[in-house]
Amino acid sequence: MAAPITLHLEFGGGAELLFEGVKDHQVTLPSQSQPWDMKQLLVWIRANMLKERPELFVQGDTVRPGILVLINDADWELMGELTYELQDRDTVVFISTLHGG
Amino acid sequence: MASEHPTPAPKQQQPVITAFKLVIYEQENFQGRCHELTAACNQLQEAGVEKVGSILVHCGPWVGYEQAGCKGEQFVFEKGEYPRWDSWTNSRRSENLGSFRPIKVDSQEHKIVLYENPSFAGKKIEIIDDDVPSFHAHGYQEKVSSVRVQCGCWVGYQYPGYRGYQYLFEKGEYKECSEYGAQLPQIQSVRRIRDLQWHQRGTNGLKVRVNRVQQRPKTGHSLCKECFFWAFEEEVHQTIISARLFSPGETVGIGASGGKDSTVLAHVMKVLNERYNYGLTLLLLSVDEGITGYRDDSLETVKRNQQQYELPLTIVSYEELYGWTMDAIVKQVGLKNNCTFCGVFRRQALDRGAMMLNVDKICTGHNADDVAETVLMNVLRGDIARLRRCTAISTASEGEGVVPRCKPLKYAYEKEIVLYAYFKKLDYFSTECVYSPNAYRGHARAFLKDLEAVRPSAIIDVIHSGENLSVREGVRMPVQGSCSRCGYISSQALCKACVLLEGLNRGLPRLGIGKHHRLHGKILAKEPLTKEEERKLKAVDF
Repeated sequence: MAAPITLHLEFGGGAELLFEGVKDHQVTLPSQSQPWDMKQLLVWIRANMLKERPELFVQGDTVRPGILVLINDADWELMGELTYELQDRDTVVFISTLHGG
Repeated sequence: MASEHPTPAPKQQQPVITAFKLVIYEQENFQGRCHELTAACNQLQEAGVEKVGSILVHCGPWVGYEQAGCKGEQFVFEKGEYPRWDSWTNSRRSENLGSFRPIKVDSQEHKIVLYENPSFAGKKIEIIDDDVPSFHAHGYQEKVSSVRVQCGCWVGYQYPGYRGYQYLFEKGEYKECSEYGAQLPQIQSVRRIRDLQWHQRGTNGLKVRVNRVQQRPKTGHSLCKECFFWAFEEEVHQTIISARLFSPGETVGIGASGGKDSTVLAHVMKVLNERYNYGLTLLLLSVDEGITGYRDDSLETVKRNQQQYELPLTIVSYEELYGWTMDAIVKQVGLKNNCTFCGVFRRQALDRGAMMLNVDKICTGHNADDVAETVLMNVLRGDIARLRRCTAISTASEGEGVVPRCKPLKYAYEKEIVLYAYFKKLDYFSTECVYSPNAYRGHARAFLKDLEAVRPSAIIDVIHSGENLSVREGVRMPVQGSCSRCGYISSQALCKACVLLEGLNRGLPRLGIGKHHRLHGKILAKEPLTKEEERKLKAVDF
């Protein structure tokens, strides 16, 4: 059994609007038999945190194109994207690039 | 003759230990005739290669040269795919390839010493078994006049983040910069060439850049971010220099909306103006469209930017220029076509603001993604005149009342702009315009993001296509004149803004939407429209 893990999630660039305008979230993922990975985190966010229009955040089993994901300040494309195995106290940042300026 | 395996290279090279193999395709994306190389080729043209469109390296590394006889700009190719010329160079100076030779990697160990002055004198930086994406971050300046390679093969780059001209360094000594093929003694990053290292696809995204940095955990994130900032700023600097966007002494208005692009633009312009002594007077120029809950909030951001960057700010509003706020316009026209009003008015408002302030040029925060979207939109709308000019980095002065404009971020990816703003903790506003959800641009944007997810270079590719389109001779283009009411440039008797305004004031909002040139005469003469004409131009509710 993998122990529960605590993550710091941050939403920015407009993505926070889907989470009642709150940018910073401290979450605890429950203990489960497999270690948590990014793919499961997205499913968990969708089920537990998304307040409105989930299609603006997740598409299929990944994030909507145009949303940038940083794991501990590194581009998630370098960390294995959906297969990245989350560690306790990781920081995951989601930034939307889709909003105008 | 098109053939599968022409091996044109002279065979007098030393016996090859590894089976070097590189395939040249004459078209992009591995299409067209192909030519296989397994040894050096001094003259691609003589070997029957007409052009180089894409390259597949089965076994490398190789070095390609701009000219025949291993001369001119150098390009290092490691094992992997190079679907287009800009996947092997980002100096963007030349798409020519004239000759190739394999690079012998003789050692698993790497050691290089770079010296400030010729003949191994002056300040030096010594690197052992490591890649260095930014000398700057190591406290070394950019001047490298001589180089000594004790072991291994290296590639040096003109700019940080492995960008700009490439210079191959093999074991040996290079007494002055001409010996390594450079005109200027400038190198700012260097990395090892390792045999059989898989070269990642899509070399122009941040992915690769950060990747290489992230492989250096011992130096931590500060270096990573530092390098990224430096590389991003240098790239904008290169865009500005190579397109000669500004001249010393000019006053430049930065179109500031408070969004990420213009916030990053204002920040980078200020940094570069100081770092490179552009000699520009910068100021911020904002347009208040009168959109409650959107622009009023974002203008607060601009006001904070004004203080953070110590740049003077001027705000011009639709209400004072046109007598209409966007809130009032939307009330009349609804949520369809309202972005047309806003776009047309904003363009003119910026010009009017710029003239009030007496600026020489305006720069806007349009990024690579924006330009690519615009190309797609103009293709979809069949707007040939705009398609032809939308990729231009600057507009020449179009005559009275129009201030030249430019886009210093034209080649900057939106993704990098967002990262830059995020890591620099820039204060920007990121709410979508309350009136824009139906804008046509949104579709082009979503489509482009999907393409980018499949292939990161899609954005630059679309811009590249746009830049290289040429319009057949004899295609009628609108002739630029000026508006007979306000004097602004226009290809019709009345400019778009005046027609839209006339429509609003007469309660016929559709007057400026679509093509109603025939009516311009009537409007100018203040003649009434017929019942039938009026019916067509009233707001349509769905």
